[in-house]
Amino acid sequence: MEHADPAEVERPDADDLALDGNAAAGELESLFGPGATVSLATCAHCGTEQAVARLGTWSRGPGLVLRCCACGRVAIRLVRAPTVLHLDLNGVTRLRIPSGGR
Amino acid sequence: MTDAPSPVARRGPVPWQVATVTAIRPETPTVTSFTLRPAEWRPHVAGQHYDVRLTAEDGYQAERSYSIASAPEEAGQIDLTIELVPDGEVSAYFHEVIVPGDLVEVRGPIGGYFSWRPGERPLLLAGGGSGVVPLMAMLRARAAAGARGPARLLYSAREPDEVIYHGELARFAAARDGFEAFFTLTRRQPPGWTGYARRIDREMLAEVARPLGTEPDVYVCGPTRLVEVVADGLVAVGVPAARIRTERFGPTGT
Repeated sequence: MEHADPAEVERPDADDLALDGNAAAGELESLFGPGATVSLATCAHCGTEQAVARLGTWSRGPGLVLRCCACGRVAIRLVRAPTVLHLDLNGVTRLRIPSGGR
Repeated sequence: MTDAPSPVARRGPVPWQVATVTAIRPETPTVTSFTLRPAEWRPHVAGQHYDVRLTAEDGYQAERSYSIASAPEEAGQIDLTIELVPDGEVSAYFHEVIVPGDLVEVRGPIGGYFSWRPGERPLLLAGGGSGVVPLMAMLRARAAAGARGPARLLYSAREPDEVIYHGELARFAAARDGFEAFFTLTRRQPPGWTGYARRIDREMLAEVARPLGTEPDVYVCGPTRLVEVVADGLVAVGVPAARIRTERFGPTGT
């Protein structure tokens, strides 16, 4: 049973403002390394596993909001403030990050 | 999704650094290519980007991500092809202020999902507007590597003047090395135009994709709506979704 925040479920009308996780690559790689966008994220809401590059990305605000490409709900929030980085991974149950070794 | 994590050679995040603008080359009335020499050049894979950061005197920063247009074989430098967007903070600075010799802050190469290494597998590239930029890096890498596998580009632009890299694409197509270019001009076509003259649709995708067989590697880059039409359309004509990699361009991406 889910009681999702309605504001979180509602997708912005202007979907054209949405990019994808490729647009967040610089910020995400600074945290998770060069494999960040090919990492696989499992959505905490619907269970879909998707490459981080495929997450819908809204980057026009003061931070980044990344949403599941299947259900549209928030997966990752990231805000860089002058002295602290806020990272909310509440919408992701698992990240599989390639470690670089072959 | 069936994406499997793929190995990446580089370790650790790339740092911000300074790059020198060494050349500026207009491509269309609103699109210009800038050659940058980063202090520490790192080899990239076609399709990757650089982040560019501008800092005002009061400390305000604006950051954008731009696809690399050049092939990795051009060691020591990268080309960024940047479209001037209305009210664009970073693109306007590039178009209206920067001159050769100027320094800009960059971080890259970044991104690993929308990237292609030359090979012989059938390749389908589809792009709209400045979404052709990372696809051009792939075609330049393909030419530099001497790859001869079948490759097709479907490029949508509104008007003839807006086609970026027109001359170079024509030369690539004339080389008869397996590459073919298909254009659609959606708003205005020149006299005698024999290419497509409508927005990309399923029929067009079927015509362009079919000769590549059932499992081409597909890269789609452009505005969100184009990316969705192309990705959905290709799945409808039988291309496995797992073979399709997409990158969306938007108001903030340019």
